[in-house]
Amino acid sequence: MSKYQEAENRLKELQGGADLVWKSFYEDMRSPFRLFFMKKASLDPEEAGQLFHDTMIIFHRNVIRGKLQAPLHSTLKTYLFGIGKNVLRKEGRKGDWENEIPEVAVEAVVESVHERAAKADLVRRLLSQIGDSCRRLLELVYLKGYVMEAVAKELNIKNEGTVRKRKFDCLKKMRQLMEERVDQ
Amino acid sequence: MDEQVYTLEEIEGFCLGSLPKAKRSAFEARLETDNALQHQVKLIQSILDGFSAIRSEDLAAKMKSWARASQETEDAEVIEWYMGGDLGRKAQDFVEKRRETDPEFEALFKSQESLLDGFEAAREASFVDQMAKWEEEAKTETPVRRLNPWIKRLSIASAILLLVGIGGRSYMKSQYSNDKLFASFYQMPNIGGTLGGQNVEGFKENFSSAHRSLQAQQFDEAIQRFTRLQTDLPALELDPLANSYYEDNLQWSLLLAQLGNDSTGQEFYIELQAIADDASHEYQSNAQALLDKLNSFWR
Repeated sequence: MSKYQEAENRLKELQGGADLVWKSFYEDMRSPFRLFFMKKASLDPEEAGQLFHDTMIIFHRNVIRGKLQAPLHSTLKTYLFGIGKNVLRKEGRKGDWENEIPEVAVEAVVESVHERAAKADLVRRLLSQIGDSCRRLLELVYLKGYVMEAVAKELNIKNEGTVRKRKFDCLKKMRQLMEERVDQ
Repeated sequence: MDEQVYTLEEIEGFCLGSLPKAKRSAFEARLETDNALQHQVKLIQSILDGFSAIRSEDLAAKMKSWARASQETEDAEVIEWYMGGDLGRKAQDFVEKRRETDPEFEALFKSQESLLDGFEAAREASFVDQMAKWEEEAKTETPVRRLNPWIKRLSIASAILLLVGIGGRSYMKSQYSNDKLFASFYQMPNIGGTLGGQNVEGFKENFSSAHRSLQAQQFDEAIQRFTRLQTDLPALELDPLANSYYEDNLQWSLLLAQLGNDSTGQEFYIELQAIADDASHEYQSNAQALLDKLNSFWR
């Protein structure tokens, strides 16, 4: 049995993407995270709160994209705190925590709100041009994180193979739309 | 030579980091020299980054609403950490500044302070009660049984001896001192609300002043103010409920002021017993608890 079995079970639930699961994780981590960084990194409550949100965004991205996978080498809490430490380091801030949080190999890229909005906006516009059936399928795959079997069930498509093919046909359409925008 | 033509699925896999290791290495090698492939990867990566950004925006919005919903809990939590000495300097300054500028936060701070003081007093009282029970048990044991219980309770006895031997007695006496008892029994009453009338407003102002004196532990002044208020109350002709509220509060507050002032002669005990025996009195249970403590072993 893995040393971090409980964390791996929780990671699996988080990968499923359900709101309640993420909210529960958020609520479990918020207090210890804020307290730790207020104490060790001399942050005030608002800064600690913002750092927590930035860290959660990175954590969420890594979980959804499959960058964090079992077998784990730490608890999820340690991993999350490690991301927080990296975020602060990138901002040039130090803390009195060196022995308490092991290093985690996570690229702590904090997009600005504007960068993120620009990327999101681009895809939203492409989705609005791509047609309803492609839009629906790509939203299920890339926004809701559905596996092929679940998409097939949701869209009443006979088999997963057909879903897979349609997914890449739709992705190809989006790519072509992007190329047209680039050429303009 | 036929060149590998990468499918959209493989390009997606590369962007998502899900290609098997060997395939990934080959892909990366090809990417270095193949401009068309670089262009395709860039386009697909932008699309996938865009989907990821939408999900992040969605999570950010949800976290904002979760944070808003728990704002008061977060404030109470920060206050508790502040009181426990758990915050760094910057966070402490933040709390102190917010107390000065945010009346709602200050009110929360004050009520939290009273609550935590009350919990501390309850914990101490519970421990003292437990030790009193052990003493009672020891007194009622027969000589034949005495040996075994003392052996069984060796660790408890040594803890008591440790407390007593190292000055625990003086610590417990200090916990049962008049000013400590005053602090644990005093609570600022609700002074808000309007009763109407100029005389009543004047009475209420004097009532607030008396309690401010008591809070500041200016006991002589508080005794004078509460005594005067007791004289003024009947002339206001308030409704029975309001009259009863003020009457009980003045009586209890005066007793606490006398306690804080170490004026605990015979009259004090007579008054206190009267409240403890009066089932209709607002502070009956407080009076009973105070009597127990005043009659405690540690006094």
